[in-house]
Amino acid sequence: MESDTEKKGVGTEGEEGVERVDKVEEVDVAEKADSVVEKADSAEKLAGETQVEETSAEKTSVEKTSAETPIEGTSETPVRPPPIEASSGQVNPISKAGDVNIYTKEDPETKPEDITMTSGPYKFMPLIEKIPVENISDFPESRGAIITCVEAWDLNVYVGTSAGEIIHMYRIDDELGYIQISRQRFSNSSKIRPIRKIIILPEIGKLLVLCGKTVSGYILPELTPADIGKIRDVADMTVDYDLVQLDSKGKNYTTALNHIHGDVYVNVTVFTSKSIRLVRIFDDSIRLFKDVHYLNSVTGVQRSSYAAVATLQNYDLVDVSRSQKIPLFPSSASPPDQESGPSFLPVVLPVGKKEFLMVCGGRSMEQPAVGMVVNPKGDVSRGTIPWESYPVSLTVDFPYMIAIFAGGKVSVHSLHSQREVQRMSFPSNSDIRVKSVCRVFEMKDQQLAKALTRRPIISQMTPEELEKIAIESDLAQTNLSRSSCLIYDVHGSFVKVFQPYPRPLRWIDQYTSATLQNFQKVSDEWFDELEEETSGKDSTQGQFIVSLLILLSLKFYNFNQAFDIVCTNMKYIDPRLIIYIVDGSDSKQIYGSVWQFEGLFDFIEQLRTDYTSKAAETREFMQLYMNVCTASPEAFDESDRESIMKTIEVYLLKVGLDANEDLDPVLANLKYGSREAIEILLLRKKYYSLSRFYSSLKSYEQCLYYWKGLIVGEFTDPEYDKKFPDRDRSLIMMVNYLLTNCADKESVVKSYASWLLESYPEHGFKIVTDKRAEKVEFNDVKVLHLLENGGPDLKVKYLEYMLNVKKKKQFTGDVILSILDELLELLKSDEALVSQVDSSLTKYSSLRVPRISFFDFWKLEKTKFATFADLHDRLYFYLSGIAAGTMSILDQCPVLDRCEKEILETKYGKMTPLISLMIYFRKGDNKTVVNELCDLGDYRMAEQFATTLNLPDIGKQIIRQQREPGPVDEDDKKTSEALLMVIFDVYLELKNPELIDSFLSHHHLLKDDTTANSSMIERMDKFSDILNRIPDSFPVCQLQNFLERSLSDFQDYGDTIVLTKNLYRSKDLQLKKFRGSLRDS
Amino acid sequence: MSNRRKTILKVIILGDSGVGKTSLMQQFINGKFSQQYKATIGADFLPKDMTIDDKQVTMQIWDTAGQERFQSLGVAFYRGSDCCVLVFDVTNTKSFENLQSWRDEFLIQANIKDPDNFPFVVIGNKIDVEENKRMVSAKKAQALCASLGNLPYFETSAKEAVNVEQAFDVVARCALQQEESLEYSDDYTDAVNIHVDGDNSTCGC
Repeated sequence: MESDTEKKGVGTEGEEGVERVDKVEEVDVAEKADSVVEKADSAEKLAGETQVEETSAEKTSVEKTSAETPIEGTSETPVRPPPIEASSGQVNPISKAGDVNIYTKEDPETKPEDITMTSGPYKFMPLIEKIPVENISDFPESRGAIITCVEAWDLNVYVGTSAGEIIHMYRIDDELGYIQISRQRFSNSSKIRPIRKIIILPEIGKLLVLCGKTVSGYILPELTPADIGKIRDVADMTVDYDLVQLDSKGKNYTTALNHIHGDVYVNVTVFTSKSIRLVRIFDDSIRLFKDVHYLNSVTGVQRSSYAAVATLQNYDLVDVSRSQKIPLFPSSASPPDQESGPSFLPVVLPVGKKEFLMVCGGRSMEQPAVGMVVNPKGDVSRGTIPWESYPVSLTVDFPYMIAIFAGGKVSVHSLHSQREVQRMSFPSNSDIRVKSVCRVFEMKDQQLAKALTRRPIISQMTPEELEKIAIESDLAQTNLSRSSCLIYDVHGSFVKVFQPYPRPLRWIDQYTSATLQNFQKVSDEWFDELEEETSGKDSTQGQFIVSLLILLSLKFYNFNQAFDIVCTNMKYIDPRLIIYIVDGSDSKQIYGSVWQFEGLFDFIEQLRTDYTSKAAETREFMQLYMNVCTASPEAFDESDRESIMKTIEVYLLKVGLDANEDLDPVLANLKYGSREAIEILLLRKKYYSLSRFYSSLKSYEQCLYYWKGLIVGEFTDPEYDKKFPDRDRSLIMMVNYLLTNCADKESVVKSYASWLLESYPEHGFKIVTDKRAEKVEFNDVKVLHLLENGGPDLKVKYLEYMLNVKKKKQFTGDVILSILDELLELLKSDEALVSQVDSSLTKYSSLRVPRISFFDFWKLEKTKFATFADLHDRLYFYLSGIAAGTMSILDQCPVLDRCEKEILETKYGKMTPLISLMIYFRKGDNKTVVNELCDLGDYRMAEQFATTLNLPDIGKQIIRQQREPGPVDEDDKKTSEALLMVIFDVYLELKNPELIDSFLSHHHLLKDDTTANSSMIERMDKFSDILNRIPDSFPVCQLQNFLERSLSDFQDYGDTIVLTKNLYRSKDLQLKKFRGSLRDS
Repeated sequence: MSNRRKTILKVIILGDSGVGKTSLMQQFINGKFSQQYKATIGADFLPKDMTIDDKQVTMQIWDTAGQERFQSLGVAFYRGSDCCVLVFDVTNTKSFENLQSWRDEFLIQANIKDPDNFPFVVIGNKIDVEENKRMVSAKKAQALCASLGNLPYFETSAKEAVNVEQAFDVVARCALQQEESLEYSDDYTDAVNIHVDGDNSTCGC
């Protein structure tokens, strides 16, 4: 069914816009009355389609076809692995026909000598020697027919002719090559319409044929008509090139399969005179999905939601999902002829993965033309490709564009540089076309296979490695030279394959010839090709170019780029390889096998040489790269991860060591190469770092071992000396480290405590007295003996620690004797101190009586000699807490005996009166205590002692212990009174009335609250006794108070007696009277 | 280590055929000069990495065809430009007189949103010629630049590499300033919405 628009031919410029967009629901378009998609009921109906009158656009096309100038390039060009670009006139080294495993029979009509070509990325390999285009005996109308399109899939080649036939060629074997197995006629004799395009859809087992203006479906591979309907008024059709991909075998390009409710389909876009139609090809039908109204399209290419569309006048980009059009540029750069317009058809081709190519000509085919590459934003994204005339056929084989011109001329341009890289000439009478097909033809290439063979550049020679080498060698044979690009003679005299110079070999050439000036350009090209790589970085070629990119960056010392590459390709770049290059001096410390493409070995070795003296320049790059690797080990393959990480860690350590840097950051992150790091540190005598490393590994004993070695000088390490110029600081830290980390390891603590006590007693003392080591049972006697070397102070402190903290009271005696020794040593060694003490004692003696207590005086004076006072007070304190028989454990002697001997029997007894007092007191010699106090002139304390039978505490710093209270029992009272009387006698001897008076006033010797007569009599006896003690010459007036008080007491007592007597008498009288009255009554 | 993705500055060089646009670009990018004249077909571009005030940029310099027959393609190349370099030949009065039309053409075809503030740099090339062959004086050129909005003006010799670096340094700075002033937009600036009411008129613009 023809539409009106078809008859109008191509629209004028004013009609070029898209008129309307109707999103059509998923319906069977056969039901739509005005649909161009119909069910084809029969072959007769198919034949009937040929009656459709051609539009002017179609006429143009067909006429040009007849005139041998069709634009075959308007057909699709699947995205495919790019072939090769000649590098500055490089000669293609591949010329072995024997490598080719496709049909290789010599072309009888166009012999190789008839073809001239410059060096460049391609050569030709014959595919089919003869295609019988004409079939005059069966189909006379086929006389003069030419090939109008070619498509290939698997072993099939489908050749469409201008006579409306499709010739099905099939490859039998290497010997027979391709033979014709069928030819199917799509036109009847009354109206012949050319086969304009074939789209192969193997996903659904279909083949779409655009014959004239009608699209029909056929079944693969034999071309049985498929009953799915037809689409009419079609100028061109295309698959979505963003969905094109290699099939699982890598043999054919296919498009993606979709499904709806379980029904599978593929998307195809058709361009009609009225609209862009998005249709879905199902197994049993063609269904219209969406119409985007766009007038007079003649060709187009679909990429996702973008359709690059051409009318005869203009190119546009249409966003079919957002219904927007971006006008691009005219198809002719020159002002069009008012009457006829351009005499050529526009061309739209896909380029790589995201661009479109459009050809812009002059007024005629003979005038210069340019290829414009446009991205989906509508921007021209590459420089224009200039041609001397408009190409008759064109295809893109990324990164090349192959154009055919009249007269058998072939021109290959690079999409990177837009420069012509190869020219070929067929005989001038040739009428050739180029076409990219679905089939990928593969050709063996030993040079390529060798270059892509993975081998260990650093070998471990393990059986596994040897086995893998064999496997990789076999795998490398699967790296074939591939091409989907065919060139054919329209008369069927040959079909050849554009055999590309393998891209990896081209890249190798480019690497070799790259200069500082063009290296960035080469890099950019490779990035571009990497992006366009069909199978991405996971493919062998993808990994090869990634490897080459990093090598190229290193070759020209572009570390910024190198860093970007390694960071974005962590998975594909082995850091060991980079280390191998930049650290060429020591490959022994690269662990595991490092595999690389054999074709890159020479480059790598050359780089190693170049980098021999470049360590400083690579420093920042390597540091950052290694840090990135360290932070993300998961980026590497699990089987290699440990070796890689170990290599990195060892490398970082070595770099740090060479630069004499702080190794802590490196060592702190070491996870995989601990053992190796230890070996290196030992080898480099970095004992300090080794010690710290052991610490980070929680190997505390090893850490302490090396630390100790550094302290005692067993090991020397300048780094340690720098960090610890002061040994004490190191010892303090070590002790703290030991106590923090090893407190629960008794043997370790004891071992280090023993060493320290012997060598550095102060630090050993810290260990044995630290709370963290309280669970460790030290041998106290041994500790004390070891501490003796550290001076008496430490020993005393330890003894006090045991006594006060560990509550080991058995050491009290030893504490006392230690303090005593220290005190005496001090006095012996310090004459000034002795003089000061004597002076203080003299000062006290000179005080007027009654004077302050010597205890109080001591408190005031002792600030003058703090050390002595401290020892003195501690000794006094500990003496105050012992019994008479307390023994020293260490000296095995009675403590008080020793004290008596050392103090009381020497001059120091007088110098330390308080100590002497305490010794006497502890020996139970209270009378001597009193006498000593009296001798000292401390009558107040003497009286107090006599009263309480106790000496007071001194010294605030000493923990006060519970002291016994004063005398409470009768014996103590008697003792106390006896002592008081001793004092009183002293007073009397002194004839000091003040003391006597005070004594008599304070001590109430006669005081008695009882009223018992016996008591009073005793008091009187005492009174009499006191009076008798007082010499006759003693002035009575000074006894006035005592006498008045005592006599008054006695008087009161007498009065009380009299009063009581009178009261009783009165009572008696009263009772007698009462008794008398009773009797009287 | 910097990120590879740098700011791309698109710079377009316009001017009459034969004024030395390609030579200027080649001299700036490759430091080369060729005596042979070959007309540019369509447009060619070369990238140049530069550092401007510590910022890494890639200048994408588009050298367009000065010949009239390719001028209808201008719109394709002008789109998205950050700076436009207008070149004339100091020995060619006509090329100088055409500067303004090149500027106007650019502003129209490139669909510049803010034409008054779009950066242009004017270059008078071929100053290496003998003085008596010079047809456009510096004063005259400066006067034109002043009248067009105080456009920066440089006199260069692509042949002898005079002032080329300096001129393109200013071009790069102008382009960077322009690029930074533009807000990022995902939409096409000149996209045409497709008409949906069934009316046969072409489009809504």
